[in-house]
Amino acid sequence: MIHRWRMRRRLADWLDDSLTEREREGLHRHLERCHGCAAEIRLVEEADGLLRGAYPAPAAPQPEVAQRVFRAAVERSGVLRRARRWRALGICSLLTFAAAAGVVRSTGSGTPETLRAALQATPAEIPVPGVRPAAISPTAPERLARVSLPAADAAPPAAPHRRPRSARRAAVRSRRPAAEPATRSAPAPVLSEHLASAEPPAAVPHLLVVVTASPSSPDGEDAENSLSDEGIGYARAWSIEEVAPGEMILKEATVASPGAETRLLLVALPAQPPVEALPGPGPADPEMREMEDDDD
Amino acid sequence: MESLYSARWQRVDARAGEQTWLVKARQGEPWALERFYAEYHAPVYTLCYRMLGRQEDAEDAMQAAFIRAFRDLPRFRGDSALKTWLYRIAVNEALSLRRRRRDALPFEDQDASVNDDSELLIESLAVRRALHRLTAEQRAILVLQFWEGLTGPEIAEVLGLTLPAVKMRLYRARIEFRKQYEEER
Repeated sequence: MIHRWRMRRRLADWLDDSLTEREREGLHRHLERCHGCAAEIRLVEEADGLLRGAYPAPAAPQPEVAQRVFRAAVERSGVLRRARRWRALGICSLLTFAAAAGVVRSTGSGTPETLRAALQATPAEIPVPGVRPAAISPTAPERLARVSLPAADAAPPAAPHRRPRSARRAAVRSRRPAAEPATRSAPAPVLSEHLASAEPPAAVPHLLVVVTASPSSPDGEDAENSLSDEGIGYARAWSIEEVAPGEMILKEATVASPGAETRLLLVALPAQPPVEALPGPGPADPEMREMEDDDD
Repeated sequence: MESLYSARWQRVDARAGEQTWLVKARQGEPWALERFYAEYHAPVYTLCYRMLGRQEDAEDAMQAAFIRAFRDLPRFRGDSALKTWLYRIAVNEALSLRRRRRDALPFEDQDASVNDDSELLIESLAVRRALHRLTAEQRAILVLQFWEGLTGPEIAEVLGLTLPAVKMRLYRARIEFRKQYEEER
């Protein structure tokens, strides 16, 4: 049985002219001995002769038939309706985008109202040093913060210049105080770290962090807390609201304030532990924290 | 075929090849769909006729094939040739029609009314009758090989088979055809 199946495969290959010279010679030797295979191959060759050219092409369908079939195919496939729908959708999107751009431009002349309108949040007072009260939205899906900007005299942000991740991380590390205990200004280096790694641990709650783009700190903090090497300028992080673990919010907005246009970058990052328990540059091991507390 | 939508495709045709109008056909441009249909409706009709053996059925299968082709054209990624893709649709539609009308498909002796008893005509009719007695899949593979002139890999693509499977099925279909032809004679 297996022999027969193999021989049929070999014969099929022979008909397809895909045998090697050696295989072909072997097959011919077999056909001289095996009358069953020889009879079968004769049948196949006769069928080939009958099938070649014995079935002329039918006349092409009449033009009216061809047109009727075409109309029916177009109608029943819905291809034109679908194309019209997509075109209409594209035009609507374009018009909506153009209209939205026009509204932002017309209302964005120098006040935080532009950002307020854009982010659609409900007010909530948040104490932020150097920044007027901001608000969060408990209903907005991305829970974005709204801030009023103090940067009336702020210069435009520096042009972005991205270095490789390892270089950025090294730069952040080199600017970090060696064994400085945690202070109020600690969140910014931690923010830099997370911006560099871009992989916040999912096990801790998240905070909403706002990075402003003013070139210098409004309250005169030193460059340790800035993200200038990220091409952003001054960075400040503060707790506004916890968001779900693993949630990542990244959004940019442009606000026109008097004299300068300022870009905001809204990022959700892991929550900081209480300021007193910030681990500094060392490992975030609880035992290590206890040892540091003992040292203090 | 007289143009239904515009004569634009006839001007485009003079300058550009398939890739030009195919892009527009995928976007649902009427003139490009018409160009696509004008290019392929005759071969699709011939294929369907040879598989089904009746003019009305061939027209129905062709219509069903183009409905499906127009609907699926935006998803055609060009992994295979357009002709192979369309033949695959047409073969599937013809097989589907054949299954639905299994009992209502007598062989149509189109040339039987011609007063000609030449050996060639008799042989031709015997070949068609023998073909009609094969299974639809066997007939499809023989039609694609012997009259549509497709290569083994193309047949494999149209029928969704591997190349060795195509060779074996071709081999068996030939033997079966030869037996049926002997009975018809």
